[in-house]
Amino acid sequence: MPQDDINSAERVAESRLAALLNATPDGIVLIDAYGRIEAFSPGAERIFGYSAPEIIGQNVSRLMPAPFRQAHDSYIARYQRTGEARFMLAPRDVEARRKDGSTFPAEVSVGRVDSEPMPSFIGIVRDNSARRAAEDHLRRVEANLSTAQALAHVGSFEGRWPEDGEYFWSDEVFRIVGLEPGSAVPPPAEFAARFVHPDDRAQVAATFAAAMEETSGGGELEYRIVRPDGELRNVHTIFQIVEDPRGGALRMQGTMLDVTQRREAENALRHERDRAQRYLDVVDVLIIVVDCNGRIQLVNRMAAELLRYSEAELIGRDFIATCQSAADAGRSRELFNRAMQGNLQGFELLEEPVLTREGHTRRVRWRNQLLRDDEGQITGVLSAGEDVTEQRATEAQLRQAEEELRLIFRRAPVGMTTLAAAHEVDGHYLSVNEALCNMLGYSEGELLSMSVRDITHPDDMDVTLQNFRELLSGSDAVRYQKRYFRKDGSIVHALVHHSLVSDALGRPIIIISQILDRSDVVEAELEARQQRERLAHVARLGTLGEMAAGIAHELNQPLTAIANYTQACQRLIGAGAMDAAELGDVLGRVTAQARRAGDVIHRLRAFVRRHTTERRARDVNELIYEILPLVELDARAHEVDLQLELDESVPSVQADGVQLQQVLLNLTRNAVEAMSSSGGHGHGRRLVIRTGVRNEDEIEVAVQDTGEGVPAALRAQLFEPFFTTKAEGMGLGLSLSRSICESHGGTLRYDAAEHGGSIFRIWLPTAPEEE
Amino acid sequence: MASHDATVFIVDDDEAVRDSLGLLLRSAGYRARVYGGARDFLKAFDPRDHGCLVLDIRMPGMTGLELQKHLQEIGCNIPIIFITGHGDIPMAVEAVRQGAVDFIQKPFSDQELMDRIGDALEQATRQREGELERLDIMDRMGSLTAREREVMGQVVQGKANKVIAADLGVSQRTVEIHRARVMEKMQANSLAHLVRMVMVSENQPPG
Repeated sequence: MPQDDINSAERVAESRLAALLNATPDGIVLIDAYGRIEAFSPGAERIFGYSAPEIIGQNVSRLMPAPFRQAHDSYIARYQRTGEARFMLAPRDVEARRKDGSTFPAEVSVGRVDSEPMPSFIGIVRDNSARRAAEDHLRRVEANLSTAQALAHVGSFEGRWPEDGEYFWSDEVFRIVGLEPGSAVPPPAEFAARFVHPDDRAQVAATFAAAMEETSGGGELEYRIVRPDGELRNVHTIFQIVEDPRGGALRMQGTMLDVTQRREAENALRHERDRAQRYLDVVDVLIIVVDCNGRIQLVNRMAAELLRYSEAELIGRDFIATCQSAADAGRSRELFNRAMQGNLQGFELLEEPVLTREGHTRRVRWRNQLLRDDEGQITGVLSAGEDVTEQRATEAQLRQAEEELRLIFRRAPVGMTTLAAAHEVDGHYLSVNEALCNMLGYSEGELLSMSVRDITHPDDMDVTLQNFRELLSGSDAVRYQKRYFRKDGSIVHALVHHSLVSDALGRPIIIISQILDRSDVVEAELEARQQRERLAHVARLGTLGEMAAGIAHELNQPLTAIANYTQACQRLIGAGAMDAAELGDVLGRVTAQARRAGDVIHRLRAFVRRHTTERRARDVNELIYEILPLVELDARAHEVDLQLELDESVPSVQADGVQLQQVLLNLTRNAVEAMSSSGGHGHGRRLVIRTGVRNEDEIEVAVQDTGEGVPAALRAQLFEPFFTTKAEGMGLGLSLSRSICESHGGTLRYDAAEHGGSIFRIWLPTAPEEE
Repeated sequence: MASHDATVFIVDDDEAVRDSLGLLLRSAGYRARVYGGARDFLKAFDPRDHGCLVLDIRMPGMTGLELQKHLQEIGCNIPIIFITGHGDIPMAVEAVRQGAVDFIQKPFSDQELMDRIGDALEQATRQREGELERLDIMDRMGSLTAREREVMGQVVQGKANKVIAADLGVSQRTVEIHRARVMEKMQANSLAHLVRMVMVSENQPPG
């Protein structure tokens, strides 16, 4: 072959080599038998950081870190000595050194080039840094995954689908199941039989069966595992069926999460929450927690009941949108938004209407508190509310009632006052109305500076104070008559009605008095009473007139005796037949008879005397005993037997004694008259005066005779004025007697006696018990 | 001053009145006995007692009028003076009609009372004398034969002897003899006297 051809062939070979060296990413380094670098490819320049000119001629050991460098020098020396090159085998991993001194993993293949006079060697160097880093990363990832699975109690498993027993379990699956990692993975049927809780096996099987029918997708289930040592674990498994990328087969991949602790924590949490909820439900306020968007996060039973939703319905809903009318929502939203920005003005204490499910409005008074997280960020609001609907309605009614009362008080046509009654009634007026000012002739200012005592008639002060005491000791109201003084000193007769106003605890606050001017009525009554008294007086005279015979007899007896005694004395003294001692004895008898006559006169006068009405508690038996002498003389005068049947236990009556005695005497007089006019002699004439208790509140005084009684036809007129059967009677006795009884709150009635004769019955209310 | 064997009986229910009456009558020399009621009096009284009765017209139990009636029924004619009060006049009048001596109204003067008691006792005495006369006449009548009593009966009727003889179927002379015997036995000094004695015997007040 010609030299040119040879040269030309060499050039072609060299240029190909150069292109190869340039193109290959690997570094190609050519060294001679002594280790000197003869060629250094661009790839080598990139890998090692040397340029070819600066490294060519240098020993290749420069490209190696310290331990490799010495080893390589010894390889070279041995090769020169023995010609053995032991390393020229498969590529091997070494450490290489860059120009900047850093080292990197490299894969080196060495080839021998037999050239004269000495062979040279060619090394192909591949930078393995990236691969090594990837491998390291993978290892780390696997390690991390394993650690993470262990920490998270998540295991993973994988296998062919449908199951054929070739299964992979991660270590954590073994741990969850309670086996040593690396043990043999049990086939699915054995796994189900050995580890799945009997109660959960059907569910597990069903889930996998469903997944099988679908052939793709997967499933999720939670079940219990029974470890070989008997401990129970809750596991959550998610699996999916995927196509194997290496072929058409299906594979199942899944994770197994040990959720035992989470379940326990959840149970504990639920328990805690239930307890809190129960507390919230029991507590007597509405509790609502909303997040910072106004969504309800918690609501207690009371709040739910007020709003007429279930708790579940409310959770998550916007409180304002759900529970406020459109009219109120705007303002509420504004306040809420401001609060979420930390401006609590007008928000912490807030009363607003809320809407129930049915659209009814309730007024709730909220106490709002911001909720913040650990960093102090506002996370929501806790609202504690009180339903004040009824309270507000009551307050409104109260205000209205108060206003009405004020008006009534001021404009009432009767006098009205209020007195403080908190402790003792000091009698100073808190307020007086116009009518009272007009009634008494004082100005309001004057009355307010005065006390009850200043304008009360002194004789009525006791009854006034007594009524106050009665009021304070439990009566709701008292009513009585009293007299006031006008400014000009004249007297007002008033009917007074005191009512006590107490607070919720029953403590007295004020006494409200209504004062009705009854002067006209009282004066008219007084006039009527005087009229009645005059009439009664005339009637008493009349009664005594009718008793004249009896009275005359009663006076005649002592007068006759006196006359007899004195005339006897005259005779005896005249005859010298009487000594001083005898005379004294007889004069004593005369004196006694004179007294006897005087007593009769005295009794008559007492009965006839005009008197003013005086009511007090009287014993009717005593009243009867007082007039008994008059009754007796009348009875005696008409040969009538008098019989008393007095019940000594009868309670007292509130009565004017003389008036009642007048009634009694009138009745006995009539009785005596009725019997003596019936002719015949005294046999069988009997007058009975009887007293007794009629019922708890009434006593009876009966006057019964054995006359002929009142003919039925006349009975209706019996109590009519001017009705009389007596020739000389005025016909006022019974009419007056009845009016007297009625003025005592009682009555007078006639009954025919069983065996002829009359019974007149007086019924009188008993006097109130005196303390 | 009168002094008699007569007694004044006083019945009055009023103690002072009867006590003072008793004193008054005794001061006037009478024997007086007082009783508080009709029954007390009846218990103590003997119808043969001589005297008069001062009686309150009104009394509980047996009244004055009832006592008066009772005494009459037992044939006791003791003179009664009623004491009355005001207004008892109708009763007093009734009492007098029934034979009371009189009535006296309270109060009274002692003289009024003494006068009436005098009257009453006089009547009592008279009654007593009349009674004695009657008993005497009865004795004389007892001495007559049946025929004589028969003749006397005809004589006091004012019949002539001739008529009597015809009626009795005897001779006029016989009648005359009987008549003389009657006049003698009866100690009659005239026909009028005989008639009066027959009336007394029959307890008829002489006309």
